[in-house]
This record gives sequence, structure tokens and C-alpha cells, in this order.
Amino acid sequence: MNPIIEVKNLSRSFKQYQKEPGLLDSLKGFVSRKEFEIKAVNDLSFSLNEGEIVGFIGPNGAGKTTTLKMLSGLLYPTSGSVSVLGHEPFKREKEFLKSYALVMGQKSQLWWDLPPLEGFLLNKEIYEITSSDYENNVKELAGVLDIEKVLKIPVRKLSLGQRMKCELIAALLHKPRILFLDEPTIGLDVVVQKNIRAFLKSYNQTHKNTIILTSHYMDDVSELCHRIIIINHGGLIYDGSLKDLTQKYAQKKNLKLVFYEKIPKTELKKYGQITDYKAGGLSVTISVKRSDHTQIAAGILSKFPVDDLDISEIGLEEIIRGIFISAKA
Amino acid sequence: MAGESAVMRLLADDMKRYLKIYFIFVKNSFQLFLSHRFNFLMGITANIIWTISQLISLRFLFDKISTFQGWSFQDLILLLAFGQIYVYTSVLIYDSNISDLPKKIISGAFDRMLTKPINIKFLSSFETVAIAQFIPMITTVTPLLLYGLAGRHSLTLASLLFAFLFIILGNIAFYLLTLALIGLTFFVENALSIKDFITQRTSDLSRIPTDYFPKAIRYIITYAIPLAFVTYYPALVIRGRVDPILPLTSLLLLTILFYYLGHVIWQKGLKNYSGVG
Repeated sequence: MNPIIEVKNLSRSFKQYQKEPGLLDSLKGFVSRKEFEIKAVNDLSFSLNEGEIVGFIGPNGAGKTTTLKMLSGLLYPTSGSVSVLGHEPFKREKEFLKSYALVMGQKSQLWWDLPPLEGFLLNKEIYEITSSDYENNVKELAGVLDIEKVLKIPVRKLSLGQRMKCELIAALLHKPRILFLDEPTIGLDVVVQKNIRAFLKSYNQTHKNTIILTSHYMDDVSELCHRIIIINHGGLIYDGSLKDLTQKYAQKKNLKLVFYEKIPKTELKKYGQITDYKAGGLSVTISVKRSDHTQIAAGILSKFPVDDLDISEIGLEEIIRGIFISAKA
Repeated sequence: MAGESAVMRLLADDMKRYLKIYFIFVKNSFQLFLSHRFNFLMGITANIIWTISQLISLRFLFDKISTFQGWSFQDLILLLAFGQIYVYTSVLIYDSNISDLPKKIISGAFDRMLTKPINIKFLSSFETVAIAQFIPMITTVTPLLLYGLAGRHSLTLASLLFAFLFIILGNIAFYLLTLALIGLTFFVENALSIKDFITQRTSDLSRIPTDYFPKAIRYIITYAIPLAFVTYYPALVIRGRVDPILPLTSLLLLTILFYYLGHVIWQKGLKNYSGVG
């Protein structure tokens, strides 16, 4: 399969100016400013196939949004090359711009004082969507997202969740082959987050479009993405499946135990690190070495009155945190 | 020939598409106007009061003198009318959008605009229409214009047509200059002040006949800032004091120059664009 997105040795630097506090230093800065360069993206390479949902992860300032902006043609790269559906994004050719959508969780494309339908109609003309396609798409998307009733209410009067759903409709009206999602669930409550994740998953399965997702909510990533790209300081740290990531970087597993009687902490300490200790020792979670977890579980089962045992992977968030910490060290 | 007609058809389709989009901008702006009518009414009142104050000060001046540099009270009213047409048209059609560009860059809204398959200069210039300006434009400009034109022996259909051409082309030149200046936002922080100074603050000079100023200033407000072309020259044409062909040709060349200036600044600016974090 030919990749639809190819990024080779991509870099982007920004010039920054340092400003010292105080009036005198401001005056000095007016005459000559201290200039320095920040490498937001540094020699990044990866490729994506059609229909993939890829999680693009990194801490704040890692270069995620800058990369998305270069992929969508908003920013020129300082060096390296990008090809998206055979286009060089920064040429901003009409056909290219019609082939993707960028949804930014914190930025709206709808008119604040007007109903979402007015914004959709504008997109209909901008993206040259036929009237029948437009009617069908609005009907289908609003139906799936369950927001038919709010489409005629001014955007400013909608809840954050309803607004985000309307943003998704506006972005998907022209059936983009690639969907860039930058923090799409930011600020939403857990129920709406779940709805949006379910919608994106089913939309991807039906339309086979490619989705690149950046999110600080690891639930978004673990529920939607089979593949993860992790970057830090603009450089690639990991590119692979979620499963491999867990096996490679999760050094521990969690044993969640429920006992028939209270077990003192001192008795359990030797098995691993107690991360949760409730009801005086009736419910305990122990973090144990991944390689030893079966022997440890067997040992506990033979020694204590265990009512229930659950062995689980440590959370993605914890794995990612571990990766960033080790990268820093 | 077949190739040429295909290109023409594409151009016509594109123009049709842009007109449809512009119609939606007007429609949406009209809806916004209806929902914020009180603010707009206040703006209209302020505009009318400003025009009346201008008339009163001119009247005071002409109580003491009979002509100003050979310009009568009626001539200066005509000049004021043309000046008002420029101010209102720019505010009505594009100025608020263009002035918002630095804000849109800082807020990240410009990123969203860049993703659209539409000319970015078009979107940055015309996304909203200041519908409210239409009412004071009609209510203040019409009486000024009627008074300024009334009873003139020099008035002919040709002079009216040439004055109209000056106003249309002059306003286009002004728009292109404004667009070029705001494009500096991609390079410097205070491009808005530069743009406001050149295109708005200098508009005060439009109420004074250009020939009153020293040669250097006259050149600046004619060829660097096309102010004279939107006020002074149309008034001269109406008064029958100028052959319009040469200044119209200069204006046409200036318009082309501003177009290319804007094109280059925006191309380089977008390449330089860094967005916000």
C-alpha cells in the first residue's frame, strides 16, 4: 500500500526574541533584541497509510501542532519534505485543501452569533458540495451525533459538547480523506468525550479516511488508535503499535486483589509496590515486575484468602510519562 | 481556441463561486446586524453627528471667506461627499476584516482560514460586511452629493462617468494598498498602526483640496496614498477643471502596482508565517 502521507527529515524552526523585565531593559531591547532560534520540529520522518487512525503524542511544546500545521499547509517547513496525497501542502492547492479537514478543539470555524447551519452553508459553497450531498451529509452526521435539534440555535447558546459536534459536522461535510484532529475532546465531559470517540471510530470504519489525532487524554488514544507516534523536543521517540508500545515500555503490571479478610501492608510489601490500599487491606493494588507477575500472583493466591484477582497493564498515561522521563534523563 | 474557452469557463465558474460565497457573507452579516441593532444605531448616530459638525465648521469658514484656493463652499461639500464615499465604502466592505487580521493571527483564527480552499486574501478581506455603515452612507452622502452637484453648468454625463471611474478605481487602489500594508503583519508587530495611519488618518486630508498642499505632500497623497484620486480628481472632473485621461491612466498603473506589491508581501508573508503556539 502506498502511503498517503510521507514526512522526510522534516524540521521547522522559529525565531524568538528574549525580553528582559523592566523599563530599562525594554528600552535596551528596543535598540537591539536578543534573538534565538527554537527548533519546534527536528528531523522528523514517518509515513501513514490510507484509513489509519494514528495518535500523535507528546508533552506541551513537543511539536505536535507544528507538525499538523505543516501537514495541512499552514506552515512552511524550514527543511525536509512533506507529501500529503501527492501534494506539497504549503503550495495550498485547491484540490489539496479540499481533501482534508483540520479540527482544533480550542478554535471554532462556526459563526458565534449564528446557528451552525449558516456555517455549514458557507462550507457548502467553499468546498463546492452539491446540494444533494450537502443535505445527505448534514442529515447523516447530525443524526449520528444526535444534534439535529440544535442546528438552528445560535452557536453561542450551545453547550461545549454540542459545539464540538457541530465543528465535526462542519469539518466532515466535504468528506475529507484526511482528518487532522488537534485536541478534539479538550474540556468536554466524559460522556461527550466517549460519544465523540465512538463517532470517530465508526466514521473511520465507514469512510476509511485517515485520522491523525493529538490529545492529552490517553483514553482518546487508547480507544481510537492502533498506531502511536510519540515525539518530544520535535524529534521522534516512538512509532509503532499501541500493543508493542505497552510490551516495550511497560515494565510493570498491576495486580488488583480483593481479599476475604484484611491483610496488613507489611505482609504485601515484599511482592511489589503497593499503589492502592483500601478498606484496611481488603482491596489492594500492587504494581509488580512484568516478567515476574505470574509467579507473584501464584504466590499471593497460595498464601492469602483471595476473593478476586485482576491482572492489568499499567495505564498508557503512565507508560508515556515513563518514556518522557527516561528521554529527559 | 478550445483551450482558451475552457480557461474562460473555469474563470467564469470561479467568479460565480466567489460571488455565491460573498452573498453568504452579506447574508450572515445582515443577520448579525439585525441581532445587534442597538450598537449599530449608536454608530449611525455618531456618524451623522460627525458629518453635521463638518458642515457647520465649513459654514463658519465660508462666513468669513468666499472661496478657498478657488474652491467654493459647494465644491468643498462635493469634496467632503467623495471623502465620505471612500471612508464608508472601505469600512462597509473590507476595513474591519483587514484590521482584524493581526487579532486573528494571535487568536489562531487565521489558521482556520488558511485551511479553506479559497483565496486567503479574499477571505481575509470580505468575511464580514459592516452592513450598518450602509445606512449612514446613504443618509449622509446622498444630501452632500446632491448639494455638491446641484446647478453645475460644467456637469455632463461624461464628467459624471469619469468621476465615477475615479471613485471606483481609486477605491480599488486603496483596498489593494490596505491589503498590502496589513500583509506586513507577517513581518512586524505593529503593521495595523502603519496601515491605520496611511489609509485612515490621512483621510482627514481629503477634505482639503490637494492643490492647497506643497508639491511633496501633493505627490504623497496622490501617488503613495491614492487619496487625491478618490476625492480631489473626481471633484475636479465634475468642476470641468481637468482632462481625466492622464490621471486615470496613472491611477490604473498605481492600482496594478499596489496589486503586485500586495501579492509579493502576502506570498513572502505566508512563507514567513509562524502562527501561534
